[in-house]
Amino acid sequence: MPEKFQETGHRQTTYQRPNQSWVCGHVAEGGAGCHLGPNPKGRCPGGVPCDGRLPGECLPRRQGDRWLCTRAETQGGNPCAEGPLPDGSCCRPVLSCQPRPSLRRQRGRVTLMVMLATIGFAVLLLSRGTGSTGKGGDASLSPGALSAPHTQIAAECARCHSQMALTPDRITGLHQSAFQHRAVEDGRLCLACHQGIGGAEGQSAFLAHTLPEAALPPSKGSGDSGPDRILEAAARFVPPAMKSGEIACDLCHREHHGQEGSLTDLTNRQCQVCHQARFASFADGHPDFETLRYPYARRPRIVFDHFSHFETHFPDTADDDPAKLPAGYQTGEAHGKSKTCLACHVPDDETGLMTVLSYEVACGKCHDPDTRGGRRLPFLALPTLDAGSLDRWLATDAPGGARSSGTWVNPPTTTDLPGPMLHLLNTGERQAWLSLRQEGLTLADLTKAKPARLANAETLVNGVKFLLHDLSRSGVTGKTGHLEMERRLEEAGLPGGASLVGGLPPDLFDRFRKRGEDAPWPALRAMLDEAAAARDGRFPAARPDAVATPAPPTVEPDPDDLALQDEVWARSGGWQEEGGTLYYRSTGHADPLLRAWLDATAANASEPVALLTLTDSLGFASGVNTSASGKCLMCHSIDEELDAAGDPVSLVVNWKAYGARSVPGLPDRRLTAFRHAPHVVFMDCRACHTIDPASEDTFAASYPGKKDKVYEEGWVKKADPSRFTANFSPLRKRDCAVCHTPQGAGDRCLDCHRYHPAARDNASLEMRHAIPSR
Amino acid sequence: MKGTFRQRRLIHGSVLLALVGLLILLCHLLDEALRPTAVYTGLLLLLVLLGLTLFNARKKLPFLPLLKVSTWTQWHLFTGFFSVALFLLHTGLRVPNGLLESVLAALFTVVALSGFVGLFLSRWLPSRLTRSGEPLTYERLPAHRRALIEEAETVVRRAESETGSSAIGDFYLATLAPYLQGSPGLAILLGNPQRYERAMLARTDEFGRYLSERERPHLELLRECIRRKGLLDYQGAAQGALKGWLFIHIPCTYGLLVLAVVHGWVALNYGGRL
Repeated sequence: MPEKFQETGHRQTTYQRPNQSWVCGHVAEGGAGCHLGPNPKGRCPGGVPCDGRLPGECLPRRQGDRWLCTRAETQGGNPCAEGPLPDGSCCRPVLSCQPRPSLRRQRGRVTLMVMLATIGFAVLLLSRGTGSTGKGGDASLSPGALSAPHTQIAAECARCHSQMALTPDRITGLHQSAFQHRAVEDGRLCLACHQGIGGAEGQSAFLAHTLPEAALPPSKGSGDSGPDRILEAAARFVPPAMKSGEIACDLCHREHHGQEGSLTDLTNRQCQVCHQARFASFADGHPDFETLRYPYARRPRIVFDHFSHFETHFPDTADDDPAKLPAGYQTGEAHGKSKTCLACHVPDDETGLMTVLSYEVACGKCHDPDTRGGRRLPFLALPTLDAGSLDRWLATDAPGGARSSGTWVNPPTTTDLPGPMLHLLNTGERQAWLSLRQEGLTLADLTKAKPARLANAETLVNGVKFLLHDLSRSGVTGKTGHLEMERRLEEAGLPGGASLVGGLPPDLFDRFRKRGEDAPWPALRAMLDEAAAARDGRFPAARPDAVATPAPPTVEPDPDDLALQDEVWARSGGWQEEGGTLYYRSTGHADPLLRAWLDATAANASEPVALLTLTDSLGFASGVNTSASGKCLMCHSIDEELDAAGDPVSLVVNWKAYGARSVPGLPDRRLTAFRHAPHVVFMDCRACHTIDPASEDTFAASYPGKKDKVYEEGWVKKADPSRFTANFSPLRKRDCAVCHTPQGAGDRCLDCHRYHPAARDNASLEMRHAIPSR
Repeated sequence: MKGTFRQRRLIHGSVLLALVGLLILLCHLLDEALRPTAVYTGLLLLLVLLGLTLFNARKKLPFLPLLKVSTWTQWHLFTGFFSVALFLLHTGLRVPNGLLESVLAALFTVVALSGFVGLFLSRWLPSRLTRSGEPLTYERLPAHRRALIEEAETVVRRAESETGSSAIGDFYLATLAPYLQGSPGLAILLGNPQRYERAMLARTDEFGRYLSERERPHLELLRECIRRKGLLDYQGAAQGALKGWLFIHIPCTYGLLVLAVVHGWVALNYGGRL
């Protein structure tokens, strides 16, 4: 038995070439392989003539005319006994075999099969995943399940992915369009369902915070701490899209992470990486609330002085009528101990705000008399006219021929044209009145009027006559004069004409109109006839000897006059005619006519007559100290409306405690998501909101009022809601940081902030507060 | 400076750990910066896989002056480890649940695990092969087995003719022939590789107590055949393992490359970056 299995010397054994593709079949069968081996094509050379000779253990060499054996040592060496055949073939031919693939070749075959299988798998997936029309056949290519909110569209890839069709040009064009970013284009597909983000048309959907740049305030850091190093380093890698206004949705919202995956889970650093001012944490570096004027960025829309109520009004009411006090108010206790906040405030789950209960619940018990009080509003009245001064000029110096003002019936007391009535005149006639007003003149005293103003006075007088004539022409019908008044108000630019004269009883107006037929106003008929004639160009005859008519005494109206005690309306409000003047008195809170006039005049505040109506007739000049009927502006503040350049263009009355508009220049509060409800459950309101005693004098001064002597200046300043002093001391960030720590209630940015402004903003509260609650 | 194997391993391991740490930090920064980190790690992973595949090409082109194969092997090993870390970063330590991604991850796992197995085998088996005895050529093992069987049969026939007894022949047919013709396969690598040989020798010794003095020399020759068979079995299993793991590692690698390219295209296309 040999000691070794095999020889390893090169002279004793052939070299096995494992890198070749084929091995001799004899070896595979356990025999000795031939020295020739298969060719590269895997064919055995055995039995195949080579150079006319059959291969064998050697390839005989010709020497002269003889063939010599050349058997190698590995084949036995030394010439064999038989020697080559006469034709030069070896006498020991190699038996042919069936070559077998080597291990390397077998491995290559397996590799090829695996590759083909993989390619087939990929083709199958791609063909099913993209679909022929690009609509996305099924979700074969989905990298993972969608989050729970998107599960319903899991099979509709085209709802979120654009240009999915695997067309030839897309395949061949890959090298050209490498990394062309279509994320924004895909983001527009998100807006198909998520409507309202970035505006109604999504015009700012891909800007920072989906807000126009002008609406974003500059970010501020408190400066007492710098950001962490990782954040600073990460800030160097911010995508260029952040700066170019192409912030696609998928930058933050990463899908296909399973049903449990969160689309909104971002770290604090991810939130801050784009901000100019960055900080380490909420407690360390976050801007202090006072710097941001949070949450008291603007004065309350409803003028409610907490200090005066708790320090003065409630204590007084406690003595007079304790039943009117808010629930929980404890007489004699300091506000700090009296749990009354929830008597008027209730947390709103949708917006997170601490809303105010309806007027009827919170305020009505005490303020109903105010809403029915105040000076009645003159609506239609004949103004006092200094006919003598006017006629003297008309008779001698007026161009267009001598004439007079004709018949005029002066009221018993000096009366100017009421504000609402001015809007029933045409533009020229209003301008005439304004011209007189600007020189401190009224129709009651024209002694010092220059000719131009006297001309204005004539225009105004004729205008009043034309108005009365037009209102009287319609006769006694169900809507006497209403249609004419509505038409004139529309012409004057006051929308909602019907609501501006709503509820005017036909018989009441008729009484006003018929004064011309019954005593003691027979001259009114003459005025109406003269108006008709004036329209035809026929004016009354001149009175050159006229003298200035002394104005009757001026009587300051009693702010709460209750004339005509025998009239029920004196307490219930509504229309009334007295002494030739139509008056209106508030019917109570939310009186529709007064609200309509306030809205209309505020909206047209850029028009001087409308503004004067608002300030004089409707009480804006006195602001919170108004004595106008209903005293609406005692509680409802007025804000200015600004154009794109920041200039005021109109005013708006705040009927509700909350509104949709933010104050220009201040942070958009819709990016803050503080919710009162979970805090109120276990915390007292006064833990955060403490009344500032210093606001006793300053809070009321935030609103137009008695202290504004020159109201033309006052209303411009006071209509800016950002200029105010809050009732409450500023919130302190450190009070929040006590609980909002990483280990406590959490200090993630997204705990208190939103990236997207709330789609349903504070305006939704206006709808809900239309219905009294509790 | 070449240094010892341990020193080189320490240095290379430290460099690898440092690179992985740097990569983790960079990915963290990119993630915080809202960058598509998965795209970056995916592209890098694809490039790394292509680089790993070049090792096979290098071995097939020995004539090119492209550093020694041993150097390439070292690069291949550590790049492989790096690719595992990169893969874990790319997937975010999550198990993918999409069809394409699941198959892709499974392929990568198979390739990586087979690579680890191959590394282990290539470190563990060669020295044991050397200690096991005569080095044999894997492709010639069938021939050696056949020759060994023929030798054993010759011994048996000689024993029968010289002793006139069929005891050895019966023992051969009943016990020894199946052992010589069969093979324990890869199981011989687990545990004591000589256990099969020793078990057969023990049975032979037990049988030998019943033989005559004239028969025992023949039995001794058969015992030698048993020992040589043990060597053949171990050599076959060890070398088969050293060659066989590549039948998993290499085909799966190419399949992985194909799917990785497809996955990359799909991700870039559907991610709006194409």
